[in-house]
Amino acid sequence: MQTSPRLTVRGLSRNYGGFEALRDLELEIGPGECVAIVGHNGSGKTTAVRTIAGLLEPSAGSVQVAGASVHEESAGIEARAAMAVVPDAPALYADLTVREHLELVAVAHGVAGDDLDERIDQLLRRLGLEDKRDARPGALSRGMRQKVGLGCALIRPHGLLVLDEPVVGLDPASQRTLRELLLEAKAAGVAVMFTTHQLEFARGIADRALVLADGVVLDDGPYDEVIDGGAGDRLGPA
Amino acid sequence: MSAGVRADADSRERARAARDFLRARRTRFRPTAYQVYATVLVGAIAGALAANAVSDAIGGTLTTHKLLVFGPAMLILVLLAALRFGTWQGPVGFSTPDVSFLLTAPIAIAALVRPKLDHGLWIGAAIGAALAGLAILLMAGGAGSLGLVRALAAVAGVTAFAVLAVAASWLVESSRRASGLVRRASPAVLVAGAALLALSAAPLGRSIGVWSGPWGWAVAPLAGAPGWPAALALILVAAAAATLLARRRAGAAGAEAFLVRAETRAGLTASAFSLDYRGAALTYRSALPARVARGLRIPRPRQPERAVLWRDALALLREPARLGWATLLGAAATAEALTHPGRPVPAAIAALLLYGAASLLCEPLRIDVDAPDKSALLLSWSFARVLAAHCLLPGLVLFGLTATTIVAVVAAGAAGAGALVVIPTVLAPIVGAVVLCVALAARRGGRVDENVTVQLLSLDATNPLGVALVVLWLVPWLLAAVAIAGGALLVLGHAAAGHGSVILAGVVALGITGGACAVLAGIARASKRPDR
Repeated sequence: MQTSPRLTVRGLSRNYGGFEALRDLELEIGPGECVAIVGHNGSGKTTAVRTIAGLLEPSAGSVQVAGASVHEESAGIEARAAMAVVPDAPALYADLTVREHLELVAVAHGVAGDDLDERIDQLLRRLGLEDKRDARPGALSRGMRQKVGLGCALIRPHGLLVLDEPVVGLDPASQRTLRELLLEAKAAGVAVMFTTHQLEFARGIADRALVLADGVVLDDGPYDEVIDGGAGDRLGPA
Repeated sequence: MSAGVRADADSRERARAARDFLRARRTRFRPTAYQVYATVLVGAIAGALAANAVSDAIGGTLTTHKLLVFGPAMLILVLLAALRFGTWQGPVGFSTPDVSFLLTAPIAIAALVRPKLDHGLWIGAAIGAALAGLAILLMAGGAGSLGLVRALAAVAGVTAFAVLAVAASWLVESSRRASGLVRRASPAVLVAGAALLALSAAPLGRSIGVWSGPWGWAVAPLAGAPGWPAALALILVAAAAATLLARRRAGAAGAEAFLVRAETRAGLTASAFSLDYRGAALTYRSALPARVARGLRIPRPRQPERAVLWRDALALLREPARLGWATLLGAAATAEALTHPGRPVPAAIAALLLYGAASLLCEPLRIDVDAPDKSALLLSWSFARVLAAHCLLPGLVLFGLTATTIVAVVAAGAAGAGALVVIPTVLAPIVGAVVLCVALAARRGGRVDENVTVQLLSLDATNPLGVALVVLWLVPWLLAAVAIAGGALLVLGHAAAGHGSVILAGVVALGITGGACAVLAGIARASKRPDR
């Protein structure tokens, strides 16, 4: 379901017991736009991604993807159809091969077509996983597992791509591939949001930076302006 | 066809396709002939032991009187266990990959939940039917004494109760509010079960038990209680209603509920494989947000030697559920020992319950062992002194509540006034020995030494000797507590039941527990801070 992609987050908060992990997040991402959420460990980045992805219930606020509310039972189906999520440590089935993971995503998302096998092979080649297509997760490094997660997100149609710490575990060549894939997604009109604390990776991809600290947005604006304007120093070297 | 209906059909179709895909490709466990043989052998031995224990417990055969007395209370416990299971796991579970791949797909959650819920309901029904069959076999006169109609009704009643328990467990799993309610109401339900048991001594009380709810309706056909067809109809209607409601609420739980449960299960599995039962306990607790009573304060002590006592008291006040459960376990232990004097199994059960109560009260010590570096920095005492200091409050609390229970049981006429003599004589060493065993168990942090783990894991899992070694390594202090406290209670109870001199029994019990306390204290004094 390729619709006009758009993420709208309003007043999003999330508490764990008495601890406020995310407070009052406001965010809007249009088609072809890319936002990098940056911040230290424990700043609330993963909580933001998981809540936006519908894996966590918000304590307050709302998330809409392509106009459909992520956290409502029926609208959530539409929202999930429009959003592809790559978690920071993808959970894979121990008894499925790399290729079968991509096939499962295609099945679960109703992706069909005579060229599906070819598309899966192409994507695996692009990600440098063609030699590992029949390998099971136990034989994969962290970086390879990360790439399987990325492949699973890219094999199906999506208007919004959400990635949690996509760079962690990737070697420089794989980081270049990831960069190319994200730029291609943007060019195709996909809205992209990712979290990172590798500031140089995000430069040139992200149009905007949103700086999180202790669950609160400290800064939000054009990427270079925000990072070069002091946030980069606060977050440390890239 | 409207867009909504079409989307729903698409969603169901995708759910079915994904399930079929996984079923076709996932590896199925196929046991070898030796594994089947070993499992059957161990199962047969364990089954024979269990059957013997059950037969002992019910005095040979199951009578309708015993069913009416114990049945409703037992089924209340079963229902409570099912509801509590729903608060942290429940009958519907997804793995972490399932959450990532299926629950983030454009598939209605209900379409994924319903097959798993139905599976759980069928398993519940099968277990219920099997238990009913077992109960019929154990009944005096066997199945023939019931007649075909009542036997079928008995199976239907217990089966319906099991289905109801599974459905209720899902209703709890699917609602955070219901989970909180179950956690808060659990002690009250236990008390209600105990009250039913107490009431069942009189015929009117037994009638109340049968008609008080599904736990009684389910027992009625088996026990042949007057009006059992009506009770059967009630339990069948209740089970059907609960099942319908549960299936209707199949889409009520969000992905988060399943994600938390999947992560908890993964953590528990990892802890089990590394024989780290403290890790398992912490994982379980993390799935149940503690109800912390904030704002409660106790004035800081001026004397440094009271620091640990102050810290333990504060911890207890801020987590009152721990004190509540310890009180229940301690009271149950005392009541069990007093009302079944001189019998080995009740004495062992009482010792186990006492150990459980002491374990709950000794939690601050375990927390100190979890982070030895922190506790070493905060408190520059030797570990042996820290360990001993942590025993003081649990010992005092446990002594207080067991003494109170003894007085209450005697006042209720369930035990003779002679039981009061236990309070100033052997109660303190019994409680002391149990608390010391718990404290010594806490030293290891619930984790088996790595070298031992390697040796244990290299044993064949189907070797019963290996399993016995694992058990001995995991719970040596629990076994010691049961031997010491259970032994003393057995000796005391034996004399109280009129077999031998009470004074001699008291001296022997004092010798056992006092000697054990001296040995355990010596081990505690030699303890070193664990380096984890």
